[in-house]
Amino acid sequence: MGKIIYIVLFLISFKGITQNTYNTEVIYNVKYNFDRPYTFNAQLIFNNSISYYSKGKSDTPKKQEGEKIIQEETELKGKYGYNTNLKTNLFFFKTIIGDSIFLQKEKTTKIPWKIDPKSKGTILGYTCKKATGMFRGRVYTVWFTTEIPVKFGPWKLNGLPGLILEAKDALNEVTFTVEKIKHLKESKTFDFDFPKQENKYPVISLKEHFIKLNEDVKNKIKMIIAKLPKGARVTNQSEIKEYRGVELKFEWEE
Amino acid sequence: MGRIIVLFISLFFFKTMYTQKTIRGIIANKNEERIPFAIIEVIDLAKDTSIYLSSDENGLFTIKNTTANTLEIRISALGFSPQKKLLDFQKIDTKKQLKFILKEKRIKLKEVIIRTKKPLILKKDTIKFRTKYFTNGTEQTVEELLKKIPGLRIDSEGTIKVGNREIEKLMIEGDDFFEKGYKVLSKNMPAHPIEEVEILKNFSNNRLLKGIENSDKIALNLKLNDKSKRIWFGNINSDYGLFSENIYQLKFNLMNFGKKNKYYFLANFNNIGTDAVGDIKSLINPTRYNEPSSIGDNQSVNNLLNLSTTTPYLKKRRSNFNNVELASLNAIFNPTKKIKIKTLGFLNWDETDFSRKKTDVVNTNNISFTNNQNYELRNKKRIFFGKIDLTYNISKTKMLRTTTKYSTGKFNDSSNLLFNTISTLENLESQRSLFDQKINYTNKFKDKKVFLLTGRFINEKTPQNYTVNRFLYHDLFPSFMAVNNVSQESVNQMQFAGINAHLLDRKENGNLLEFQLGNEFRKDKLSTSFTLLENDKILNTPNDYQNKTNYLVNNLYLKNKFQLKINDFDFIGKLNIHQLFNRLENNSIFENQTPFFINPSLGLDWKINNKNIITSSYSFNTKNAKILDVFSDFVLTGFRSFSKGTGSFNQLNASNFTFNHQLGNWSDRFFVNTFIFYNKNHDFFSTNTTLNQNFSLGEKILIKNQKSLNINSNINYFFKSISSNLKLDVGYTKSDFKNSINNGNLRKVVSSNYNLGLELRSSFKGVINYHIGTKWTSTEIKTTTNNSFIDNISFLDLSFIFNDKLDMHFQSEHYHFGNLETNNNYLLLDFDANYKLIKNKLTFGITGKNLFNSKKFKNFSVSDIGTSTTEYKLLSRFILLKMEYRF
Repeated sequence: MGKIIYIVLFLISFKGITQNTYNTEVIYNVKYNFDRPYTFNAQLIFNNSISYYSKGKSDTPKKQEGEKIIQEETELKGKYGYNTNLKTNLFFFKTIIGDSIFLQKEKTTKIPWKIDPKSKGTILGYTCKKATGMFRGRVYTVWFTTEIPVKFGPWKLNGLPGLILEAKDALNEVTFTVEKIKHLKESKTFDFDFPKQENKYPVISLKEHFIKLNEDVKNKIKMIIAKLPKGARVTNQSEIKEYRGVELKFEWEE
Repeated sequence: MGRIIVLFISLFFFKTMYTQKTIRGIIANKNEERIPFAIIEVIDLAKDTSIYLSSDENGLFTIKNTTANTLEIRISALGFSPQKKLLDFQKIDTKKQLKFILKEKRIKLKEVIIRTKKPLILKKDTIKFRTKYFTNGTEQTVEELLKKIPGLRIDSEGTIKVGNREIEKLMIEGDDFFEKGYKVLSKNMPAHPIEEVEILKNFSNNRLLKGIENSDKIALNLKLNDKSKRIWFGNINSDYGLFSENIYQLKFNLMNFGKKNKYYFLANFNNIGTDAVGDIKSLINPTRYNEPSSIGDNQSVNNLLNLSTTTPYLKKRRSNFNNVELASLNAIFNPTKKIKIKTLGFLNWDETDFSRKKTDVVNTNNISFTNNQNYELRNKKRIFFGKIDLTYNISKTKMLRTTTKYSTGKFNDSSNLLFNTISTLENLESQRSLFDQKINYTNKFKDKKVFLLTGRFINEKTPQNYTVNRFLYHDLFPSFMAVNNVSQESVNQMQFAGINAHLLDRKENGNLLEFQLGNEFRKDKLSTSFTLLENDKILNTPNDYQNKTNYLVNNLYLKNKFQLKINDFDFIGKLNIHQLFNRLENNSIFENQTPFFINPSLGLDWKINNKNIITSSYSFNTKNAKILDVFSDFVLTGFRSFSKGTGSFNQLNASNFTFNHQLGNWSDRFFVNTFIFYNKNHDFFSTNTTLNQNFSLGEKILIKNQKSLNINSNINYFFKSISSNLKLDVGYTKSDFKNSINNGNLRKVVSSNYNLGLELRSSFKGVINYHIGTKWTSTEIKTTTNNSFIDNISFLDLSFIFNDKLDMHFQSEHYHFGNLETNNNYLLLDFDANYKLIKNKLTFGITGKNLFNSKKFKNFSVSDIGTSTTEYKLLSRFILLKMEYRF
């Protein structure tokens, strides 16, 4: 009898986990300054365990003045993006390379953040602390706020005890700056579930993704050179230095 | 003793056991639901340190191995109010799991916090390429370096385009020396000091107009590496002919680009056919149509008489027997922060020879005859050009600019002609002098509103003296039997004065409104005097062959332009209103006219999506007749041609429609660009020609309804398997008009032209790369008779890049001309090899041109009165040994 009571009590006490449907939307302004300076807005939506980050979505008017674009960036519209899941410790990146969609899957990396305990700052009305950490070849200095207690941040930067509002790398080539924070209606849930789409699209590892990306850039340059008119001479086609974006060094290269 | 030790040890352990604690906690809400991934800050108050933990999926967390006695725990989770708790381990049983209940936080919906200031991103208009990623130091000139930058296209003449658009200027560190005459720079400046190439889109020549004027102009800015700044650097190229005598090229560039002052000196001496300057006209007169403060840019003097020639299909250098010297000195000074002075000067001496044999068969309207010409021409010119630009930045929003240009040139053209086997000598001596002054005041009185006031004065004069040592016009002047030579003296002078006020208003929503009010005054004086001579004695100055024409045109105008953006559509509407005052004096006969006209135009751009962009426009224009249309008596325009204008005023109306569709992008596998152009001239100047074996008289007449249509499509597809791009080019042009022969009825002339081209170009990573192509052109002219022909040009270019030091290139061309019975196939081969002895310092090379030694080149052409066969003399084979030294 006592055992049954214990089991019942146990069952009652184990009521389950809160279905946290509070979704928050944060808009970042991202600036890349490699060979070509490139600025865009990115959106991060999260609840307490899953985050979803994508490029190119924002409320501000996007159309620039009279632009005739010669080389288009493959625009990632809302459907493509990064998904970090704290429960499974998995990270998904749905992306287009060339003409095909891939699902890149990797384990979330624990970034060795060092929090500066004495730091204090205010961004958008939130009190922030500073932290530095090295991730894939870049040293990032970030400001995070514990007032929004989630481990997320823009792109792949996460692991701090608060939302990262600003991040800058030491070379000043990558900058994330928060623009807007919005709490969304409770009823709205987002399709964060990339893992469900593992059947739909080919799943690749980070290394395979990087190799494919390099192939794609090389092909694009080939296609441009092949369209040059008669008389345009390519005297020496250098080994096109591997395209490096935000991530300069990978784990398998250490 | 041992027991005491054991006691001490156990006490010690006991103490540590007690001081090292592991605490487990659980976080839940008031309904006992666990809260996962909450953030826990554990503060050691004594040491003033904190660590961060988070609760796992089940809301559980563990504080491991803490030695503190008291800890403050701060828990926060999304959607809940944060909670603080002080843990005193003397009072708490650390074996028990600590429970924390969090209260839900009512979050106000729509709590939006926005950053107030959005950083102004002009960088979107700039694309930067660090050259080290695209080059490997093998490029000799800037032109070769730019050929490597993706998105830039350089054609065989050296014109630099981004996409379909030619660049406005090529700047160095923000300073421009040559404007549209950039070829002087790109063909001569060494590539090695360049570190970065910036493509500036939506470029404005006037910095105050940036962001306001709608500009899809593109400029390039080259940034130099720091080593090259503030030191003198340059290069010397010296090439000398092997085997052939006295064939040479000597080029040198000397530069110093400091922060305050920049100097650039270049010189080119050659006789291998290279045109050192590219296009001199664009240095003297940069064309900036429709740009604010461009009043007067389209005003210049045109001569009726020109002794010059062109070779169709072939590159000019193949038949350019030249001896050219060019020296140019340029400087930019920045004496103070507000003032910039730019000076440009060049001297050009050129002596060019040209040789051709021509057979004209005239067969039309019951007239038929054949003429044979054996033509040798020598052009000599001496040109001096100087320009001073002064820019004074009065303040951040006000600017004053003045430009003063002065140019003088002396030209001496003489030809030795065998016309129907009889020797004929022509001699043309001309001069051209130009003075041009422009002043502009720009005031950006509000953030998005600009006002410009521009004044311009131009004075240009071209006197010419032409003599022919034969008298071919017996049929025109039957009573003068003793005449044995003719001469014509002419002076064509223009004075232009204009003032223009321009207001640009860029609205909040991105729409642009423009208003212009201006007055342009132009006075042309044309006087020609044709005399019949016997040796040195003037026998007659025939009546209908003398001109004293003064033509005054005053144009008062109001121009409006608006640009609207609605979703993916761009509308551009223009309305130009002109009130003209014309006054014509022809040999003492005066006439006045005050025409008024309105010219509307509408353009529509539609970006369907990223891959589909459509541009289209329609416009209705009225053109007022120019000085060369209105003179009333005949002028000798060549050894066997006279021409005369209408002698009266005319306004010509035309409607024009263009359409362009771009599918894909330059970096896509499939890229198509289609272009349609339709023009209808409601009024058109045609000619009534009187044909005679020895001369032709051309009289300008006004006809109605001339139409032309041009369709062209360019399709690119990249085959991954062979790493090559296939380009298909198809085009069709049709144009029809009317003219008359020998005062007969107007007859219709229809000219149609088809072309089809195929090209395959590779982009292999290895040693070899090829580019092969072929193009067919079919031309037909229909009048009462039909004349047509089909030509074919094929080419094969091979390039071998063995390693860093050695590269070789072969270029071969094959021409096939239809309608020629003999000699209708030509094969030309060029070769180029370079060896870099010391990287970036010393390079040796061998160039061979025309290796098969084709001495001449014959081709066939048709016109509305007959056909002609022309044979051109080509530069014979030569091999040059080259050397380049950089310092």
